[in-house]
Amino acid sequence: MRSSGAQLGKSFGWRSDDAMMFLGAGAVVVCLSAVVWLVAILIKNAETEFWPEPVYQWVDSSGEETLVGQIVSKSDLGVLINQGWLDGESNKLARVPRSANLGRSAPAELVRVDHAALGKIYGVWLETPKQSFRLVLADKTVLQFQEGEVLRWYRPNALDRYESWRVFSENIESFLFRAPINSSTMGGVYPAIVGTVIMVMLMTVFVMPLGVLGAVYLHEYAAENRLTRFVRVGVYNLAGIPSIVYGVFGLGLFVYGLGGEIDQIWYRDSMPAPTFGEPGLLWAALTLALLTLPVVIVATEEGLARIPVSLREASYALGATRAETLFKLVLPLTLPAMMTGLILAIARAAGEVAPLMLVGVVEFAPELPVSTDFPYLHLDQKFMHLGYHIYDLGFQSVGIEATQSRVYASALLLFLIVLVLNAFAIWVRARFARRYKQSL
Amino acid sequence: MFGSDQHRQHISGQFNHELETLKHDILAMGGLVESQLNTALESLIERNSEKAIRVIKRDAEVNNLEVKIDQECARILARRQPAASDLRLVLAIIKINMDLERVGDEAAKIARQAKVIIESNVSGTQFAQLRRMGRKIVDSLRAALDALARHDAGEALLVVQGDSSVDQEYARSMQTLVADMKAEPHNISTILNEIWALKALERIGDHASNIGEHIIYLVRGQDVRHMAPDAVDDRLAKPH
Amino acid sequence: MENVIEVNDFSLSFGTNDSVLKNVNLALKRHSVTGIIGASGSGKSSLLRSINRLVELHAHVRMTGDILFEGESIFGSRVDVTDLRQRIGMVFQKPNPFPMSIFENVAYGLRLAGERSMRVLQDRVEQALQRAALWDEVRDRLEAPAGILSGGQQQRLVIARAIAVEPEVLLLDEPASSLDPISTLRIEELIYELKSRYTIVVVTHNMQQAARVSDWAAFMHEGSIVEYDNTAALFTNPREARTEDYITGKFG
Repeated sequence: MRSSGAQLGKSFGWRSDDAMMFLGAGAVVVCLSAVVWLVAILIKNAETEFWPEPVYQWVDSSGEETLVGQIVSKSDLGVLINQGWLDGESNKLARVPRSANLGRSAPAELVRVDHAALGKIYGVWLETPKQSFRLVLADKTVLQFQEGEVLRWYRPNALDRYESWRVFSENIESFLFRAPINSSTMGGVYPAIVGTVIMVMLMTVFVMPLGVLGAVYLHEYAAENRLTRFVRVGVYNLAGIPSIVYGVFGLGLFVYGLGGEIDQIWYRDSMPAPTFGEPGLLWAALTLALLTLPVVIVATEEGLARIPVSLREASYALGATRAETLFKLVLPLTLPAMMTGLILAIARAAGEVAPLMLVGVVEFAPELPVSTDFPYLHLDQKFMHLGYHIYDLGFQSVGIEATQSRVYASALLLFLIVLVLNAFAIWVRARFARRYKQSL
Repeated sequence: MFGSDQHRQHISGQFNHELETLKHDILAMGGLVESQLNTALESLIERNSEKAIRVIKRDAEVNNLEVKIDQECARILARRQPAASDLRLVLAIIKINMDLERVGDEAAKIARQAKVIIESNVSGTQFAQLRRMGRKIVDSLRAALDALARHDAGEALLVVQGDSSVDQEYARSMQTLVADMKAEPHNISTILNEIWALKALERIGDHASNIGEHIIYLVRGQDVRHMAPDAVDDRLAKPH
Repeated sequence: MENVIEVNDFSLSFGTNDSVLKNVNLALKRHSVTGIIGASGSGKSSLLRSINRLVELHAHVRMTGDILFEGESIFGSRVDVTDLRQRIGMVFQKPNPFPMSIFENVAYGLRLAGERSMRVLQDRVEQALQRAALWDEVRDRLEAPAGILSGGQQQRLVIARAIAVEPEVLLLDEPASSLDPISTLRIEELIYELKSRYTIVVVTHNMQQAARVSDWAAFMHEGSIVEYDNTAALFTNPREARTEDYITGKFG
């Protein structure tokens, strides 16, 4: 019978097992909350891009000065509003000072017009639209619109539930499927989506065979000597090189080097205008393939190493050659590991911006890299990329605050695209893992 | 104990111990049975009924020892799955055990005959045949037990081969005793007792020869039972 | 021909180490079961793997002497190693079924040999599984992964896989050492049944198993064959002292 003192001591003291468990759980909670927080911020800020926001009107006491616009942000100085097109300027911003005693209202007759060239315009119809399109703006100017100029219009303060949802889905649709207009203040990011996806797929076409074959050689055929170890260490270290360095390398080797050669040989006629001798889809895909190559090699080698020698021996004992064993047994079993490598490669590639700036991405590309005319996939064209679009929107454009919600919307979209690509790869991996379930 | 055991000890000390115990027991059995025979013959020749009774009583001990040895052998076979020489050792000991027990039985029979003869109080005969046979048989048995102790196949072979001369001696003695029976009809019952004792001795000789054959199997792995003497020589001359 | 496999003066070493096999001489008779016993490291497995040239998977392997299969050297220039390994099958100590379905496991070797017809594959797979005494237990779940089978069943599956390609010789490297006693007995019984079709070599460190299963027994010690004889003779009256000592448990 233990003394009660000893028993008490035991129940109060920390057992390292419990402490570890709590620490571990705590770490997981921190990570999860970071992710949740990230997604929440993205959604919250992107929301204003899609969900129809009310448009406010501030009138000073004298009734002379009227400010009309959508709220962008609030601060101690006052409220920052986007007035739309006003006085010759699109997305004109203004600050409504807190000090000024201005009454705020949300009049129902306020109209938002989406114009093909001018962007958002706020005002009130002079007469019922359809007969003539005349709009009075906050500074009392009147605009006359022609038929095709108005993309759509609606009263943002007078939307009922159904209409709100309709506008919302219209916004999403145009964001996803339309090209950007008006220096990306309106329209969508469709070309950027296409560009990103096409580039990732092209990169996959290059990196997977190269990575898998490289890993197969390193693991299966290379003798275990100093040279092999050296090569392997080199490959692992490639993963640590900053991505911008890859961009510079890609510029030098692919764009000017290889591209220049190709132009010399095949595109003499169009010289001195470079075809392949300048940044383009092909070079971007190749550069990213190089960047993600070590990841694929490492993941595949890990998968190969996990296959027990006894299985290979069994295959040889049944009369298989080395190649047959490789194709019929080893590679199918390594598929899950290869998929892991691919997932990591995609995640990395979809998010890289710095190297792409040098080797093929532009702020605005007039055509998509895929089209219906031969050769269908235009490897020499420059293309748009979602990550670059975010960078460009967020840091290059003039009215940063105006495009803020769009930046978050694009970020959210990029996040979702990578999620979908990963989910697909995970599904493929799971299917193969189930079929070739390890029986160890 | 079992002299020239050139082989090393078993890795299993337990097994080793069991085999040693077995060998010890079978030799003890041999010694016991040998002393039974000697005492039985003495009781007859000295007309000592006390010795005869002792022999008869001690036969129970012989039987108990036989059972004990058999059980030991069964246990070793079940638990140790002996192979090669160990297997042959156990098999041989089982058979030798049986032969020794029979020798004990025959010695007891001799003692019973002795008792009857002593009680019938007939004097005169010196049991000449019995003495002669007895000496031969005692030597034979002794030699067999020696061969067993020393794992000596050569000596065992001699015992096997010596059985034919024992048989001859037996035939001669029988003839003499039958003639005696015809000559002294009033002594028939006594002479009959002698004849039975002689028969017992002859059987002991057979058993000693059997023991010799078992020893040859144990040591050389050759089964030489039921073979003609020349054939036995040939067989043993071959190198395995 | 009486001797299916003849090992003539065969020596084997890896790199610069000592010889693993030293001047081994052995003749295996057709449709017999030969058991190879010996202490660990005596070269039993290496001998087995030399017969189907699996030792050549190691780097720096050096061999002298010859091994004949049906009278012809297995090292001949015209010999196709993969063909040889189809005619001489091997089963390993730990069951190593491929992580595929039961059917695909048995069909693996057949597919390697170029068999494409599903009909033929199904017939041959069924036949192999029947000969391996596994058919009744798996006939309704051929598509299930091989991993669901128990150890003893897996070993029988692996045997089925080996005999599906109709080898002439079966090399079994301690086939039952990782199995429980009942499964072991089943495997031994299977070996007895397979004897009529194949010539079998069993390497085992379990002497009683060798005694039960084999017709001929070879005792190996430090890379050479000490004694090779009829099993009953070797186990009741071995000629060599070393054999005697090993069998009676005095060393090893």
